[in-house]
Amino acid sequence: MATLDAVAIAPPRRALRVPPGAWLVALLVVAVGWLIVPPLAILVYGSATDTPPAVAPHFTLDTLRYAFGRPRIWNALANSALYAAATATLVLGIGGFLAWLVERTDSSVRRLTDLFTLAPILMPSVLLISGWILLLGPKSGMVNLIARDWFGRTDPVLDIYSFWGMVWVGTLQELPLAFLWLWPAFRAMNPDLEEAGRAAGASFGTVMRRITLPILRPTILGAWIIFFIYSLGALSVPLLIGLPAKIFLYSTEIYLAYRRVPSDLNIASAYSILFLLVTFISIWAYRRATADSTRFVTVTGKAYRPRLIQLGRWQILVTALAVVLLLLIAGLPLFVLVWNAFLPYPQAPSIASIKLLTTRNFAAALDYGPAIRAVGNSVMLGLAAGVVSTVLGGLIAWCALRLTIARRWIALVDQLATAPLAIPGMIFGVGLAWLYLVLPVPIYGSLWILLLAYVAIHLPFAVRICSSGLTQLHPELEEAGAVAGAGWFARLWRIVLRLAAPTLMASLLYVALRSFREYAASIFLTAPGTEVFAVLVLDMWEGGNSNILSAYVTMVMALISVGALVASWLGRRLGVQA
Amino acid sequence: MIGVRDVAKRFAAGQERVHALAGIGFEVESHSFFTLLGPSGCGKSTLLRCVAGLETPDRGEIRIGNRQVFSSDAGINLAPNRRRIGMVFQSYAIWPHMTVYQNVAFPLEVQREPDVRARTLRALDLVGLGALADRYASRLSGGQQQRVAFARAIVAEPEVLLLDEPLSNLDAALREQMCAELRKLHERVRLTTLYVTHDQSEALSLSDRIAVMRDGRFVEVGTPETLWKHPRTVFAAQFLGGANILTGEAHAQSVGSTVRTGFGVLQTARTASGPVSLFVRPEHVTLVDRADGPNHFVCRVVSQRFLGDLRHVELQLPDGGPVLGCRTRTGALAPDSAVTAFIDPAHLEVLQEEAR
Repeated sequence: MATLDAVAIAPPRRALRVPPGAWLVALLVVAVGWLIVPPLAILVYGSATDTPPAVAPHFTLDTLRYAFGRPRIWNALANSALYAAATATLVLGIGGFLAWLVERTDSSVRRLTDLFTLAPILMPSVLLISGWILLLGPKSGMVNLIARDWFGRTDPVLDIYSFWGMVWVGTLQELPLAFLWLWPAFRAMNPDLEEAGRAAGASFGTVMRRITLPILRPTILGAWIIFFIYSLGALSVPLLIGLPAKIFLYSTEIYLAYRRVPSDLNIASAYSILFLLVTFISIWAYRRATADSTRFVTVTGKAYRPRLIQLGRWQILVTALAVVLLLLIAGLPLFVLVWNAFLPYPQAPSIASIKLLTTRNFAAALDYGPAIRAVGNSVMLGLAAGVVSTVLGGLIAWCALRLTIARRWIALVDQLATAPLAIPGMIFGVGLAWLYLVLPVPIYGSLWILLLAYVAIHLPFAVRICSSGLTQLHPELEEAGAVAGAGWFARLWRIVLRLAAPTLMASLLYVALRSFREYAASIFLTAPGTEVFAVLVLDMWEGGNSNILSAYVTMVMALISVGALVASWLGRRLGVQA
Repeated sequence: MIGVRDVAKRFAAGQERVHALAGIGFEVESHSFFTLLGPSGCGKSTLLRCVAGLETPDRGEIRIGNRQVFSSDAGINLAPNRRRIGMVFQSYAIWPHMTVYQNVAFPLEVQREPDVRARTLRALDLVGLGALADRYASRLSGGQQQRVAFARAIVAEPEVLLLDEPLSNLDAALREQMCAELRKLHERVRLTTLYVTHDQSEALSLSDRIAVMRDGRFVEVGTPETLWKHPRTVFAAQFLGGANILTGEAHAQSVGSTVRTGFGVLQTARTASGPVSLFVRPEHVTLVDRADGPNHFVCRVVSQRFLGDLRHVELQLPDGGPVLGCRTRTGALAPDSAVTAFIDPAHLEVLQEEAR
């Protein structure tokens, strides 16, 4: 090593004490922490006082005592639990069946998968529910009108305003998501395991019972818990169907406490706290259910080439079933909405009714006070939330995949950012409303507070989409940039960003579309001037004309479809030349 | 010139920390081709990545040219993009969103070098890809991607060239061809090169010097010829290809020594005494007509494999004992037939156990 010491030493460059990655992680901890923690923490403060926000607080246990002292709330909780359990069970049964059909059989349903992923985009839940009310409303629902006009029935055959009406619509609403949730599990499962069972002499049913289902158990159990939480936190079905039917759910009570004049945010906070508690217990149960999933073979990264089960003569039946489901989720509600949009008042399709067709509803909808402004706000907020969530989510995913420093902090950010997946949007709505009534930041009643809510709620999706996209990028692609002499910014800008563009675009779009349909948090945060589309539809049900409402949502659906088409075209243009 | 002194790195493997590199020092002379050879997990890639700055050693010093790029004592750790290196990755890491030209021009652009166009085209011509400059890199064959990666690594005239198993993703025929080309390219550009591979034939045909690695240490360093003909350790002898190892007790003689082994008493030209390991390559075991003098053994044919140009025959003494491999140009032998083998004393090496 003598030669080593002999050569002239270039002036040593001191390494930075704090590597740039650490600054990034610190920034993310602060940003994500600020988004998620204070809106939830403030609820404790709200339920421990009986004074409205921005007034000198009076700490007391009376709020909690009053909130949980009435049997009414426990009834609502029981209703909610029943509703959520029924919905989660149904949605998993049907969703699991569909996922199995698509992934493991030669069913021709396979070609319909894209439609399942598109349906929830074209049918935000407020539209689906609106459609079903227009179908099954006791007086003016199309099915009941047909029963009356065509078959002379005097009483409604099917009434949406009932517990099972709620479960029905709730199930249809979550079905596409359940399908997307379970599909990868079926895809990742090694069919050898089942075939080994068959080879050992077990029948199809026995293999299903003793091998397939036990292997999928953690996935199914985990999914059940997630959908239980989702249904528990849903607000649109309880408000649009439950409230007129006088079936009060827990989420309805939170909304009513908030809507009371004067608004009782203390009680709403107290209710929210219990809700949050239930959520955390469920997350804990979810973690337990999926913790030892490495023991189960479904979660290998390896792609199998599944051998498909031949359906044979069941083919027609199964296909028909899937088509009917698709009709129920999207076809029928879509049809009834468009039909009603062109009619002056609800009625069954007939020769006479065709003569009544009019476009006057569209003009009326455009004239309806904040209608246009609400769509404008929603589009703007959606895009802004998409951009912000994707930037945050992309950075979080990149740090988690690539940085070797501050691993604990990165894990913390990752967990914080994915927590809203299981926290109902409503809770964020109540929390954010409190927080910015207390803090001297004047964003309450502005679009900014809605943006904060949308980013917080949809951050988990952005993180997941970005991280699955970035995982595909071989780390050597970035290292090659480093040894070529590119600094971290040039690498991020000229390599990572370009290669991940389709992923980032997908994340942006997904968050934008989900924000567009968001109502559960928005309903607590909108103010005159900051109306958003989904909340406006809820309002229109309270006081409006359902045909004008139909015209309004028909126009908006057309708008979303065009938007989604343009975006997917853009996404393809941005794609890597391969 | 690359100078590495006392570089150590440990990885957390479960509860314990495992040595990836256990204090390694070596030097690569300017313009020479140095290979790190070893089985997977021996630390050779980690060492290369430490030189590149893609990984940070726990301690030690690394010098590239006349610049210190890493020193745990002085607190120096240059980022990879400041080390003036070129590197070819195992996956090639060709950016799929850029054309061949854009890929190769990238280092010149980000380092703000002059004459980007002329130098890029020159590099492409050097690897014979001038005609494909505007093709998207993802539409190239494996061999072509390899050339793009090489052109990109040398275009900015780096101080050193680092190659991380660049041939391992190619099929056998192409690998041999690229191997020959790589050597030719090296002779033309004369960049100080550090090469990592687990393939001994690549190492032998490309390198000026080879370091055989195991468990984060250098087992043996030498020129390809020395390592092939006169390895000093059992590990290096075996890793470089099908060696016969026989253990026994040596007695020094006036010329060379005799060794009592499971294969009988062998004479070697080397001097040794005490317990030793002997080593002879299968091609230095020959089949002869008559047992005449020392190192001749009448053996039984245990098994045989036809290799194309040669035949690999496994031999054993009639009463059992160790099996001796022999590579010879003979016709098919009857199973269990008796043949006479001769082990040339000049090629019977005495090995030392490597320090563990």
